This record gives sequence, structure tokens and C-alpha cells, in this order.
Amino acid sequence: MTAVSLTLFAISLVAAGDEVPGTPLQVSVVAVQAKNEGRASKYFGPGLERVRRAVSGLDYDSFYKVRSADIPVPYGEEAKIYIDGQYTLYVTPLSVVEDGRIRIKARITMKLKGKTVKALDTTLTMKPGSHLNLGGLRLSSGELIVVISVKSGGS
Amino acid sequence: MSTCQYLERVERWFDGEITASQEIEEHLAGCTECTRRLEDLKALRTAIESTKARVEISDAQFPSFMQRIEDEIEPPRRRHVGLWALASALAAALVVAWSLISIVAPGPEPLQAVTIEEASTEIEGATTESVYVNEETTMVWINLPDGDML
Repeated sequence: MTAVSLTLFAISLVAAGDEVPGTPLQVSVVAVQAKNEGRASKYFGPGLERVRRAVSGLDYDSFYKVRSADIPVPYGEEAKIYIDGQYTLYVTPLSVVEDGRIRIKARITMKLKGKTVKALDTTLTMKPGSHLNLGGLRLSSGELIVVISVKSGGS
Repeated sequence: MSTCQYLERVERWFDGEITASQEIEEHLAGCTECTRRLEDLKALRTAIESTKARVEISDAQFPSFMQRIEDEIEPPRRRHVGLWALASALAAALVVAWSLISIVAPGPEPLQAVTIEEASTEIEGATTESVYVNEETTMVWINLPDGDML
């Protein structure tokens, strides 16, 4: 049954013109703690150089790195990226669509009152080198901004 | 089928197109084919002259006579020059308009770097929204309900 489903899935992707490359997608994740500390100018902690432009427009004055990861993820497989004790990120590369854009699925789970729930679940297409911010989730101080970017494997 | 090379000249001489010559007369004296043809033509002319009737048209009849002739003359087809000119002008105008639109009108909206297909949350009372940050960045933002959820 699973094989039949996978075959139908693959056929649907081919019919839609999508491509599932054999090489893994390079996924880059930077989890940022964003908060307001009353600074006159914006402060970016160490390790945020790559995502500075992606978060600088947000309405916070201080940004600190919580965690970062740079991992290859094969298409069709889900990568689990632990952020902190409360949040976990899952990223699944789905296919390459027109113009070389990557279709991915991303979700963040959180522990809430003893249960794990999907805090955020999204499907999107993104240009390699662009950024997807997942934001609005609360930390003990400030809010969590997860910045995701991708680039094709081997490039 | 005639074989005599003088036959055409004999016919033309009979019709008065050329004057008689000693050469034709001598030929007729010796050519049976041309002599027979000449006799046929004379017989035909005699027959025509015996049947033709002279029709006289009086001055009073003349206007109606001319009117009937004019009525029978098929009027020349009206040439739709104006219609073709209008169609040509319209086609030219369309080409020019299309060219101007192509030049002036903006092309399709550039695709954003990140396009959100769907976003959802299981947190009760929370909503999600897609926010354009800059040309390289799009954000999916979760609006949590007020109060301490934890």
C-alpha cells in the first residue's frame, strides 16, 4: 500500500512538472531570540551575520542566537532540528519546482501543558538563498524567530 | 479541314478586306477547294440578306428604347473600397495599440522569493499570517492568544 502511495505521489510530482533531485538539499537554520531591551540601536549577537538582514526589519532591538544548524536533507525525508527544551523544528524538502525554487514543508512543535502540539505548520516554495522566518512563538524572554534558508546540494 | 494556303486570302477578298488580284483569280480558276468555299460564302451571304429585316425606330420610341437598353445593362459591382479602408485602419490601430500596451504595461508581477502555500497551527486561539519582510525574506507569524499558555 505504501509503495503504491509513493508511486502515485511520484507520478503526481512528475505530472505537475516538479523534480525530486537525488542530491540532498542543504538546509540552514538559525533560531533567534528577539526582544526589546531599550537599546538606541539594534544589537545583533554573535553568529547572526548570515541572518541579520532577514531579522533587522522586525520590531525588536536585540537579537541573540539560540541555535544554528547547517544540514543536508534528502528530498522526501524529514529533518529534525532541536531548538530548545520547548521547541523543535522539522523540515522536509519536497521537490524542485519551476525556476529552481524549492518546495518545502516546515513545522515547529512545542511542548504545551505536557503535550506536544504543532505550533506552526507550513508548506511553501522558496528561492535558494532566500529566507523564511517563522516567528511569534514565545520564549521565557522575548520571542523566537527561526530563519530557514536553503541551497541546492553541491552548489 | 482546309489544306489550300490561298483559302484565307480568298475569304478576305470575298469580305472586301483586300482587293482582287490577278494571282487570286488565277488560283480560283485552278483550285476546287477555294472555288467551293467561295460558292458557300456567296450562298451564305444571299441567305442572310434575304432574311434580314430593317427595323425603324421613331424619334418617339427612342427614349424608351434607350431606357430598356440601360435597364438591361448590369450595373457594375459596387466596390467596397470604403469598407476595406476602414478594416485596414482598424487592424493598423489594433497593432499600434497592442504594441503600446506591450511597452507601457508592466509585465507579470515578479515572483516573491518565498511563496507561502499554506500555514496553520494547532494552538487553540492562535492564528497565522504571512508577512512580507523584504525581497529576500517572507515570514510566517503566529499570533498567540493573550495570557500565559505554558
